[in-house]
Amino acid sequence: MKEAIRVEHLYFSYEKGVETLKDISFNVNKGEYVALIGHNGSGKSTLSKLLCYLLPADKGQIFVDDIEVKEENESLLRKKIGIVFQNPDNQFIGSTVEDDIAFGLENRNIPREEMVRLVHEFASKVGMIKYLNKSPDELSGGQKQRVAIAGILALGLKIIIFDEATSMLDPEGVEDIKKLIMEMKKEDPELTFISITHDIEEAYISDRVIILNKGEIFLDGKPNEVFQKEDLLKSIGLDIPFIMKVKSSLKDKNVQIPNEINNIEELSDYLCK
Amino acid sequence: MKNVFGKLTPYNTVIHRLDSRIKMLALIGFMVICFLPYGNYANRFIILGILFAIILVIMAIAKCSFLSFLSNLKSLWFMMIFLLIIFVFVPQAGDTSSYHPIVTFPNGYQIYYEGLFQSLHVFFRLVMMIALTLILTSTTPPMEMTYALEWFLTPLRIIKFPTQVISMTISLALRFIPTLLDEANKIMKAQKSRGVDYEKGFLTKKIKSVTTLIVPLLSSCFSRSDELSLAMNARGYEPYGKRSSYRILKIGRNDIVALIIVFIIVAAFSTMCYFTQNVAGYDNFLHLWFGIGAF
Ligand SMILES: Nc1ncnc2c1ncn2[C@@H]1O[C@H](COP(=O)(O)OP(=O)(O)OP(=O)(O)O)[C@@H](O)[C@H]1O
Ligand SMILES: [Mg+2]
Repeated sequence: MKEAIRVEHLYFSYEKGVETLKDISFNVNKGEYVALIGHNGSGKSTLSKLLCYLLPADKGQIFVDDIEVKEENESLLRKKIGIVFQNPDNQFIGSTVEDDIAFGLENRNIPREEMVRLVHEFASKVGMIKYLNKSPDELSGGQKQRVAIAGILALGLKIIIFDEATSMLDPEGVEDIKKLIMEMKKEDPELTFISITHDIEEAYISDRVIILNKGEIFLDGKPNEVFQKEDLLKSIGLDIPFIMKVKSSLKDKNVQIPNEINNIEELSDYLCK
Repeated sequence: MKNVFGKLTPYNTVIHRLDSRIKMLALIGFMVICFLPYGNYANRFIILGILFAIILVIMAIAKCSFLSFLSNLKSLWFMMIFLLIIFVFVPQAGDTSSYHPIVTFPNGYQIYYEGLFQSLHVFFRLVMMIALTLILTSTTPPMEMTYALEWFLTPLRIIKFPTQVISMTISLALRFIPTLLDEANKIMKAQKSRGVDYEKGFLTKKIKSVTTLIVPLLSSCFSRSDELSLAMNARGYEPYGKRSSYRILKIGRNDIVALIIVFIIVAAFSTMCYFTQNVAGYDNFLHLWFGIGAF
């Protein structure tokens, strides 16, 4: 049993006749870092809501950690999978930073001492320890996103979805959060992480890329394989990572680059030899 | 725009540190003694004056901004005019034979000192109420007030009253007031830049321009609450489920001292009320003892 998520022939529509998601099937292994990419309106957020049972599927099945996603299992699912949404304003529930981080813990009926410890631990991990008693209207968008992230990470879930959860952070902030996730993955190799993102470079360093297009899975595989298919990606207007671009233009000029090279430092080392 | 309820001040005074339940009880106690009658008007003004002095001392301890107190009062002037009209110029009902006229018009219509004092009395009470609520709101985070409210409502759980749901609703409302005010501001600016004028024009035109604010504000409200409910759901919120609480309300030594002080003040004023209202000779003791204030 190595699967964190299994999706079988999933269909969903908000309005009759308009299929938002069509025949989606995929598996995610435990411990995988998945990047879910695609254009605006391709159905990424919708899919993530279906995975967490925030929306019920029309057809098809989803299993999260071998638990079928359906109404009877809702409270079980909440203990397995969590999501950070796009808009940080509308997910800030507590009146202050600490209250908000504690909200999910309160719902789990966690004893107070444990809660205080977790709130402080995760507030400092996302760099918000100095702002514990600030109210949301005193925080910037990026700071609110950090709080939302802390609120989910503190719950100790097995599967975490970030729906453009770092879109308002500065590059350094994004780097900090990435490092934090990597640390947590090191502590718990089974931690599965799905990142919905428009950042091609982030997708490139993930374990696995799933590309949605108009509600269907367009491509699914390792970043190296997926981003090889430059023409296919161009046909739906998606960009490819910088390093791939460099490699392919070098190839056009008849410079052969071995496949193992997949970041800028290695490439420059190789070329300077 | 954000300090509709009197903004919390960033100090850490004794009053700030008091338990919110004690503060709410004290507020209720003070309001009650504000509204008790204390014999005739001279008595009332003297006794309320003493009470006001006490309130001013508390304001000073709580480092309440006197300026924000005054700016709160500023909006009261029209209330004062209204009171004057009601009590002074509208003819008094009932027996006015013992009243003291200020002027008598040729047609027999009289304006009484009593009317003037009555309106001043009501006004004075209002000023004190504002001072009291200002002390509470500027020293207590809104959230703590909801915790206190939830605590006071706890006995209702016996009859299955959903106190947790009520307090969650209130705290969410409090949480989103500044956000929505911000949003209203933004929408107003956006509409102004499109040529909507919120200041000028007649009533019909004003109503029209206000709809350009209300409609987008409402629609954003709905989409917000939609997302908010998803976010709460995603983090495992169950309205009737068992939840632990991050905030705890703890009564300390200061709280007990404060409670005793408030109790003594309330008892003292209630006693004064009892004597001035029920015991002969005390109802206008100032007049009898010092020869002043026969009203
Ligand atoms: N609540 C809703 N009601 C009706 N239609 C919706 C709703 N939410 C989304 N849609 C529609 O579903 C489609 C997919 O939306 P979704 O939010 O999943 O896209 P997305 O891939 O997350 O886009 P983005 O990159 O902008 O976040 C869109 O065409 C959108 O118009
Ligand atoms: Mg989205």
